[in-house]
Amino acid sequence: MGRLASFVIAAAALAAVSGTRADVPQAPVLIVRTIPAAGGAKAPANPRPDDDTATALLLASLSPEKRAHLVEQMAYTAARLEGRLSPVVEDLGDDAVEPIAEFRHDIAGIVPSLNAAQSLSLREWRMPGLAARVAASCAEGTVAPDEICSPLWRDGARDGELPKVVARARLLTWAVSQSVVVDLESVEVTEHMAGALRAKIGTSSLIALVLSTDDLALRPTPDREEIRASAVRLGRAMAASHIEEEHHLEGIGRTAPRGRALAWLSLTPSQLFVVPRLSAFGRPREIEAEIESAAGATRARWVRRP
Amino acid sequence: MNILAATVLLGVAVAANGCSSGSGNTGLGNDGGVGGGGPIEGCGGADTNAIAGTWDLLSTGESTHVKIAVDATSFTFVHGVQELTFKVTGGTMSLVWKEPVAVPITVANTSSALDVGALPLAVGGDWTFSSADATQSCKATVRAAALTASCNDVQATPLGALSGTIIGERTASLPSLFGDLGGVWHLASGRGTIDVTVSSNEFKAVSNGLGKLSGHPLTFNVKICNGTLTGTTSDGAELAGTRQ
Repeated sequence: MGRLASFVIAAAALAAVSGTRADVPQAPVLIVRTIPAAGGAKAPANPRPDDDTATALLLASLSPEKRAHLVEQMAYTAARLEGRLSPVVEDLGDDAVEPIAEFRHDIAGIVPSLNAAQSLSLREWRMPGLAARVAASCAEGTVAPDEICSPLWRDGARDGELPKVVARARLLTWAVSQSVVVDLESVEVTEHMAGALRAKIGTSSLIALVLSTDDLALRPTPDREEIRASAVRLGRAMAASHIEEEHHLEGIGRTAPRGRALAWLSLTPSQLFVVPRLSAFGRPREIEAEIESAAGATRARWVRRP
Repeated sequence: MNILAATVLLGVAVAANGCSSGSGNTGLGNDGGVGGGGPIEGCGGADTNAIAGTWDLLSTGESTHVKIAVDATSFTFVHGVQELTFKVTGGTMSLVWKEPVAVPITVANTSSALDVGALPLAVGGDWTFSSADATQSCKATVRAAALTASCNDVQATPLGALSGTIIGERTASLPSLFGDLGGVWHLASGRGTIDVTVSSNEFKAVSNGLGKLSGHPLTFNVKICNGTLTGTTSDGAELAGTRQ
């Protein structure tokens, strides 16, 4: 066999195993299933988020200053609630404002990030009429005959070309379908960039989460134990005051989880996974502009985008 | 239902409640006034058909998904087992609330001219809504520069119990997707005030005393652009929707 024939055979074999056929969506994939109407019965509820994983992703995306502020706010709120419960200690805050209302106002800036983290922690998303999940590939996702397997990221293609059910699923899975993977060429630059983007979270930024491969490995932040202790104290004070937690922050009061989030996503050390807030849906150019602005002179290479 | 979804419902319900097909009228929807064709910053130009259609809306928190469908003769709101349906067939209007048992609501309207721009259902006129036994009722008047609404102890609505009167006045006019509704509005009730700005494709509201964050005004912003709707509140809740 000549060298040319050998090359052709080798190339064909490589293509076969790496799935480069035109009809195989580029990984990772969004797998969508249409659910028949329930005939007036209540549709199945959306699966509950994994609060522990969501908490880990949230804390990883907050700057050290914002985490310190969160600890401070939890301690202050707990002290106010404890003061109200005690016959000998006075509430040092503004009596006209309920402590927990003040706390919720103070943490409002990070609530969009918590919501994004909770959505990311889901294994399946549901809305009336459809369910969606994400997998590394159609093969790994074991796509059923009644499911549609399409690329998770469209890399700039227009949504108008999508089947209606897939377009609806992209709204439902906003935290992943609108996310971006960006490469900053070196670990040092990536860490600097992550810090710059995280510093803007909770302000006017459209970005909710900034995650590295270490963050997806659920590596605890250095102050995780301090945050947990403060959350436990606040949780006890709230329970004693018969106050229910609205934002599912219970995960902050538990030990950091082990394992890896988003098994379908693989990042290199120089890449960041950037998740927008829900209200940034359909605004990918603005997200990219925000990242480019933070990158400054460093060239950000778009690895994947909506 | 959280306050975000409730506010969206309120806004859309106000539009739906204003269908120009009153008693004895023909059931025509809004024919699109000049205001609907105004420029929309950042949205690639005017969109006189920006609202009509079926929308999926997602909100953060517990509400998750709402479906709203609106055209020239109907409006439907679906949230779980809750469903509000308004229809105009010929000269007859019907309004039904289901949760999940259907409760018909008697509705009547005397229409008046009002340019509501891209809203497919006209809004102007005087309205009355009442339960079948007439023990619970609301009435509303919507004009180009003023609106009033009052309810008599209406229970079990998506917005909670409705009771009292709210009076709104447009203090300045602004070009918007919503015709005569564009401008700066001041609304007052016995419980507080809401300052609303409707400009271009954006809706902004600041609630003083009516929000759930005691001691802090609750703000609510919504923007509609190219078949996508997004919104935020000052307590961190968010909203996004797309037209199917």
